[in-house]
Amino acid sequence: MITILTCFIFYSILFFLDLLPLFRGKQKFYRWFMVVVFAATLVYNILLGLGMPFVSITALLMSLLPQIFK
Amino acid sequence: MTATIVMFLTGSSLITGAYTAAGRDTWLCGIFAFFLVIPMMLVHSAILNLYPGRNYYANILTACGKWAGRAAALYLFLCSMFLVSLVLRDFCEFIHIVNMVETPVPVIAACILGVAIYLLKKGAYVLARVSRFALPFLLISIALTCVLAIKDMEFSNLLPILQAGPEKLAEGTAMIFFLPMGEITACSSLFKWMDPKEKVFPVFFRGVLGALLFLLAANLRNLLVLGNSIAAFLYPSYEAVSVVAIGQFFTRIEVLIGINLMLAGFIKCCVLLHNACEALGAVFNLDGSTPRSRAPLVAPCALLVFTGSMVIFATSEERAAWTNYTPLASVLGQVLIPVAVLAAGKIRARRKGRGGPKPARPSRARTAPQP
Repeated sequence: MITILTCFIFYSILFFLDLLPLFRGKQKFYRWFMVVVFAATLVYNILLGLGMPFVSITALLMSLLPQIFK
Repeated sequence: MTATIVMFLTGSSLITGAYTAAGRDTWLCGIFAFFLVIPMMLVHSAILNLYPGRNYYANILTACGKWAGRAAALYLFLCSMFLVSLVLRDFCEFIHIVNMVETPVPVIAACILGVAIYLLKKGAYVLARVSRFALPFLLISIALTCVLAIKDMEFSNLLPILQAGPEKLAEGTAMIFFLPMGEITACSSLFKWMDPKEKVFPVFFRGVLGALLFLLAANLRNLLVLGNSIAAFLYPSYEAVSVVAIGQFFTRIEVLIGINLMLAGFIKCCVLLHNACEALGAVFNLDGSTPRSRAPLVAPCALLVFTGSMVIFATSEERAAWTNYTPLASVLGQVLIPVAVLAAGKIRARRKGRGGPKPARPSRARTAPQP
């Protein structure tokens, strides 16, 4: 619950300080990139906060690297 | 710039003490790794000097061509993102375990990233100024802890020297080469903003030498105070300094280690985040001519780092197991890609020199003889 609350506070601050000014400007690429990353990471962090199981990045890499370097 | 490189390389290694499979001879491995990283410094300097402007990623794109260059930049972006997530998670775990046990890791990560976003949006030169300001604190705290720990040191803990066999020494050297010395790749993107009159290699050299001295001091201090038990601790530097006490009034100076990590670890996170933004800008061919050009990319990259740091590893056993894979994972981004880029750049420069229009020879005008 605290993780979700932290996410909301952090993302709210970034929304007002970073995302909104991009909508006023003319930089389309940055605007859409920020929106996509913002939405995707917010949803994922909320799911993590709700206890969604995840496969860690290092576990994935540790299974891939020996196969690549065989 | 030198201060930034020193703070970047000392980063999280100052806390963990850079302990390797070589055991007591880890300090020797650090010296060997320093000599091994000198050629890499020359490679990065050469890449920066390939074309005017010292723009590392633009030089990669020019040297390797559009698509190969973008692929290399994308790979380096992913490496930077992985590293910064790992460093941030280590940073937050240290604070959570040692001091703020009740505070969840995401809260600590959000606070650190918030400051990092603010700093990087102001420009890379702010990062350099912060590093320059913070370096004396790092120097003083390491020197102070070393001097105060002298009475607790057992100099026999150094002996026997070279007890670890050649295999262990090689393993230890490789470990320190890839983490942290080889990470100077991430510092290369900062040279764009350095004074053009200053040469690149001496700055790299001074930075890496300074970092080596700091790491050696910390490693030797930990070894002399803790001895063989150094391998048992998660944070050897913290444990070594916690032993230090002068009378009843001068105790708990391990807070200095926490301050070291706050300063150096934060700079490391910022440098890696800056490098990730530069690499991403190169992938999408975005304008990067001013210090604040990449400012719109800082927050999205930081959000990716925030998420990445939560899922980078699930348990501390995974974290410990990952250290064995560090050389395998790092060799491509820290050695092979830079060498390949330099080779491609040199070949391209030679082909341009041979195939380009040759300058016309000045003709000797034949004038008719004057009557």
